[in-house]
Amino acid sequence: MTKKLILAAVLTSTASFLSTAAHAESRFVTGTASPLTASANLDFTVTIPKFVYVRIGTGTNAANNTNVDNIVFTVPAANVGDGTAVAGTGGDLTGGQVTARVLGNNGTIAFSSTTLGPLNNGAGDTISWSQMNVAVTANTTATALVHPTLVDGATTSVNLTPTSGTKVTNLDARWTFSYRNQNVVAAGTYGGVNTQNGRVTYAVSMP
Amino acid sequence: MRRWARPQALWICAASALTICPQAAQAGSRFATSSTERVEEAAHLDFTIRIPALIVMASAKGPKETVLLTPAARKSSESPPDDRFSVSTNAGTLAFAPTVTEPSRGTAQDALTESPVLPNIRAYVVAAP
Repeated sequence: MTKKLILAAVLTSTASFLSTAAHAESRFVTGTASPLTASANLDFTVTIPKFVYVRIGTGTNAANNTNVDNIVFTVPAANVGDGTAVAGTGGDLTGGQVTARVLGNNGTIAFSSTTLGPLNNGAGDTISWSQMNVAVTANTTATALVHPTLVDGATTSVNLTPTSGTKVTNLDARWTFSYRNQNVVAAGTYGGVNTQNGRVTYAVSMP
Repeated sequence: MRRWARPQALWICAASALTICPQAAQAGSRFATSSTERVEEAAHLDFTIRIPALIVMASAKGPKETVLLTPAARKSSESPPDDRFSVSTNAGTLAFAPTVTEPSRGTAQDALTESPVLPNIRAYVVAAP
């Protein structure tokens, strides 16, 4: 008897399941009730990948761009070492100005700058990164992206707090570079395109 | 029964194949098989600073002269008598030669150390590499 009851229960539940599966998510209702209603369900799934994005100068939104800008400072002979700041040329915004942007969606982002050492002219003479001034102004976001301090042969890092909720960070800024020109230094060309310590690496790291 | 701390349990599971440690496999958010749990990217920016080669000649009474050097550039400057005279450059060792129009009472080195200019020396020629 017990076995018969169990078998009956299994068959009943199986029949119900098969009935439902055969019609997927559709309902057919008939009767005298007013109003007569029927409903069906639809599920949605949205998959958002984890990502982080950093742009310094020329770049493409949400994509890699291999172009590296070169900010060039030419000191007039009459002003060498007299403290008169020298504006740069180059940068995607010209005049020694670049677009800086960091975007990520998985928590606090560590944002850093790294130099290999003071700029040098290949003849043993150097200019410290402390002679490079950076003016940070807002671009499209309410809060401007800070610039990690440039230090000779070292990395400095700042933590970027999420700007939306607890996970999303969206910050950008305009960085304007100028050469402080506070010391009389030997003649020559210091730094350059990935040479003589002229390259700065800006990195982002997100959980 | 000894209670393992979670990291130790995960390590033991890894050593003996995950299939016999269903708890470690389900804790995949902590037991990542990839060594790069963090997402990292980097961008770069280059800098160039151009410093010209020059000579600066100055006297107490005369104007300060700044000369932008070319590889073959030379500069001569005439300094009045009883004046203090200085020369500086950022382009290496200076070659310094006075032009003496009359017999002098001293040497050109006196001028380099900012001694009063000898009245018989009327012109100085300096050159840098």
